[in-house]
Amino acid sequence: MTPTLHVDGPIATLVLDAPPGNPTDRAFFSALTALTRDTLPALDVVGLVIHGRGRHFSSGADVEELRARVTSGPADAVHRELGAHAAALSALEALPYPVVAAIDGCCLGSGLELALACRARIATRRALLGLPEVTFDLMPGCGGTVRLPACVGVGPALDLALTGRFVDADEAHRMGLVDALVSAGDLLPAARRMARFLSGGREVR
Amino acid sequence: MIIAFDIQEGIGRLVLGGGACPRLATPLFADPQALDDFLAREDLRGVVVVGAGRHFCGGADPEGLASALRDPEALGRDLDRGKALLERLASASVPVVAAIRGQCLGAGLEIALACHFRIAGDGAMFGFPEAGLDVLPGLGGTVPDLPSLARRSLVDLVVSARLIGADEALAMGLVDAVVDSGDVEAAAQARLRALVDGRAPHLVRAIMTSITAGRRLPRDEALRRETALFVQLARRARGGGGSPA
Repeated sequence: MTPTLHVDGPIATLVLDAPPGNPTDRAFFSALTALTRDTLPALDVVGLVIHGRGRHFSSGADVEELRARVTSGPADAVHRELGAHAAALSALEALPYPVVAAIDGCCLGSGLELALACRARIATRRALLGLPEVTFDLMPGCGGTVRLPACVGVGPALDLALTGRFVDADEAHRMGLVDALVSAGDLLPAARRMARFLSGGREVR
Repeated sequence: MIIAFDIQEGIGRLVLGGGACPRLATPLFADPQALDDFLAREDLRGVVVVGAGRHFCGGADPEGLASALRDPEALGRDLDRGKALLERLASASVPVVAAIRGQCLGAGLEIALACHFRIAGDGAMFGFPEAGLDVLPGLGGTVPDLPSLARRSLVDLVVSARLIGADEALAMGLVDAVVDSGDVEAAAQARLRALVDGRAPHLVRAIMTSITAGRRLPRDEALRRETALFVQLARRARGGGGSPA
């Protein structure tokens, strides 16, 4: 999935653009690596909103593709590639303006890890969040075991990562994983307001 | 003081004992080597920490505390060793649940807070009655691991030195569930079973290690370590047929 970037105002938008699942696959991370290195740091904006086209934010990685990729080839090459994925999310986190995830539908696995690298998360009541990697005999590999406990505490993070269970919007909001719940029609406007709020009223140059 | 270590069907039991209400004569609430050996046992899938009788732990023993305060340097060393013990529980590579009946005060509350989950009986009582004496061994260490609501609630308890019941502790985010006093240990075991049953031990340990041991590392280092654990795990499970249980 290659995301598309729209810059048409003070808040840019990055659309996860392969409905229905908007998978965070190899093509996505290559594109994100390039975007966070070249394009995004140079944007003259006060914030960035990330959302998925269609009903879902992102269903996460394609597990079979990921497994095939990780188990073939030399270990150090695999290590480098996955390290680059994590580095792309760290670069997103380090952008000089706030990044807000606007979450509708599924936000799972590395899709949730992407949302966790954002400064804030706004969701609709249809949102479903989780780290199901454990159910595939895997673990989160893009910062989930580091950013989730920092966000919600060690106990709730262990619960989600060890059971792989999904939490609905209300529970995610109660545990602090999601910062605000809004109606589906208001998701993008609310995410832009959040980005503007977090930017501290900074204006474009 | 932890008076018993045992394991049944993979679930370990750490028992705080010493009198009708367990109290700590020194911050060193367990033999470090014995605790390390216990936590490293390969058949261990999870741990329940529990009081021997009707209480979890009443905190520091007043006489022990009074005499310890006469030698602040020695007390400082003991507090550091107590913190290291709490850190061992907090960074265990299997989940640890406190099963709390009766009093859970002072250093006893700190032990409970170092656990990953807390199940309380409906008659449990929480607080820092000795807060004014400036003897809060591990707090600084385990507080950052708690959900933000619980972190804020602790400040209230420390500053006010008031005691609260189980329902208020639940509302404050200090415990995860309140059950009938007679069901506390069974509920704690059920919590552990829900986390580990059906999962390969090495899988649970990899996730636990990344989450609990990673939290003391600088972020970049913790992320690199997660990547390494992920690659190791994925290559071990190669073939897609899962891993040996």
